[in-house]
Amino acid sequence: PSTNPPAGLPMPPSLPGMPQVPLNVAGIPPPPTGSMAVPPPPPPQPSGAAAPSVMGATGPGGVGVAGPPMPMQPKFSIQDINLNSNLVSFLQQHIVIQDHLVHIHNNPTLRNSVIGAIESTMQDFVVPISDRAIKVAVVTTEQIAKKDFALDPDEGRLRSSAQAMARNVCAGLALITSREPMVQQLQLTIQAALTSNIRGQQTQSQMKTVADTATILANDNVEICANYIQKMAVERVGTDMDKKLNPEYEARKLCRQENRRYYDPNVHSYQMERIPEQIRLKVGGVTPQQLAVYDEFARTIPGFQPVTDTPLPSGLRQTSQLSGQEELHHLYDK
Amino acid sequence: MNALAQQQRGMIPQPQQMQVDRERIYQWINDLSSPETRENALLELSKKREIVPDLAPLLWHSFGTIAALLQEIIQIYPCILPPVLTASQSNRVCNALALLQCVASHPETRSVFLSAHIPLFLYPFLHTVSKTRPFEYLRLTSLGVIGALVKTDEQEVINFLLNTEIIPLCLRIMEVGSELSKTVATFILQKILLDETGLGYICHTYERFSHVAMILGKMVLSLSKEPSARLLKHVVRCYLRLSDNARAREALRQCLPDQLKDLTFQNCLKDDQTTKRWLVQLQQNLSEMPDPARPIF
Repeated sequence: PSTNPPAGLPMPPSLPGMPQVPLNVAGIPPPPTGSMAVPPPPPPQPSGAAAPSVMGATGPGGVGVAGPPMPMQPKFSIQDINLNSNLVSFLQQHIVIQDHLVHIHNNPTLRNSVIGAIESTMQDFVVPISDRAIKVAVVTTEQIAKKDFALDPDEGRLRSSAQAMARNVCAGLALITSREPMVQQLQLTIQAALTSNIRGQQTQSQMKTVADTATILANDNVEICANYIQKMAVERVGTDMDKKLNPEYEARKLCRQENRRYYDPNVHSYQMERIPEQIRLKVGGVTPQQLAVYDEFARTIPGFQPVTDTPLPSGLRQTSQLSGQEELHHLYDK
Repeated sequence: MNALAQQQRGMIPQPQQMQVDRERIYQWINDLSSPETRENALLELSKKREIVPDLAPLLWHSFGTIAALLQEIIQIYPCILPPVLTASQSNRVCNALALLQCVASHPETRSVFLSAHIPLFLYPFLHTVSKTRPFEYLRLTSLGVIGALVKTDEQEVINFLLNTEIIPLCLRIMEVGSELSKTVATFILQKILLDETGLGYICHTYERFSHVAMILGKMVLSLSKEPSARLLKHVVRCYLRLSDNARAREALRQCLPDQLKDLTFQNCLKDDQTTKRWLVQLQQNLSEMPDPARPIF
């Protein structure tokens, strides 16, 4: 495979502050001797109550409610992220500043300075994060969609399924790879921006307040930043995916022009020989029931609210731009 | 097929070799495709993965199965940061990982598994640092998949891994993981080192070598306080293999921890002839006279 991410080394600096004491592994059974098999799961725990309480510091989406921690509830659906405006006006619209940070709320200079800091951080991340996410998503989706649709003559079905999967995978990768480095960087740049607005010598307590404020702002805004990068990547991945699968589309079209039914003969003979009838790929196309997994890729994009009006891979993909009214409505809804 | 399955159902199960109802295996594979029926199918299939020798090709070549397993992985990404993964979410994704491990270790599916870059989707789990059980279990199971890949001793596996960030990830787990995670991570590093390309890669620059040596040194120190024979075995094997490289050998003469030269681990290794032999071999390799004309790195 030549399309791997950049080579692993240089090594990262070792993590500070991690204790050398052995971790608590009470629940994990020893591995079967000499085998690398997956250990049996920990004993079942009552669902819900089983969750460890790790939500002590609630993030932006997680309201500080008592009870079992919930995964962060995404604030946006993917349609909500509008890339038509430039990044600064996007941030003007969506920046999260908690009420208690009044001095930033009420001071346009400070507010813009924070927005500028977030913008410059995002500029550093957008391209490398989305490039890598797209690259991996395209390779993975190509391999999987090609084999799943190898006996399906309908390039439309292959295309919409591959698009749905690539967008989902790409969004997932962009989310998971951007969040951690971005929140650190956001903290630093916001802190620097706030500091530069202080006139004269800073006191110790001022510096502490600035650092704390920067941390709050970084944590509160990392979601919207990640969402923006995800949407950027998702918007771009479709073209690359189509390029990659174009020979597949063309082969199917050609067959149709020649009044033949498309199927990949190698896959067909392998399937006939090796795969039992019950789970074998059939010539002539997959069933709507089989498409459920690709429908799910279209419906739930990681880091976003589920798409309610499900665009089915079997149907036309819904292009999603909210009208200005809807956009405004959403803004005030928050 | 059906008749055979019927026949098998009627048979008294052998205690040694549990008969598998193939029909139900196929049903579960089909069930994986649909989000509604997936959870139970994941559980049942992961229980059966040891006793269905051709499960891997069935999973790979059936419609939507691998896409579904990947979906399970990507769906929990939002629970990784901030770390809010619950025990039941962890169990569920680990069942999916167990099936992927099966695909990773089967000779017929290993290559396609690599060319779809599926190991990369596990790396975010190896990045996690939360010490709660759901995360510990997730890391361990993910390491298990990579462990299953390297266990095959295939060149293509090493080539793939060297193009990814697996080495720094393993090194970090070797430094801060649980004893069990450390063992699997060290096993992976050992397998990479045993490969000629892998050894050359790690010894290519002094920075790479010294990072590996530094982590191994820390592990020896911590093992001297809390011995673990199975972990020590892999650590010693890594050192021994490093000593096959001329430049690393020179460097190790300076930085091999004293605990590997004295009697610190005598008790820990008393039943392990192999590791004792490796340790003697390592000391021999290092005691041979260095060539003074040869520059180190």
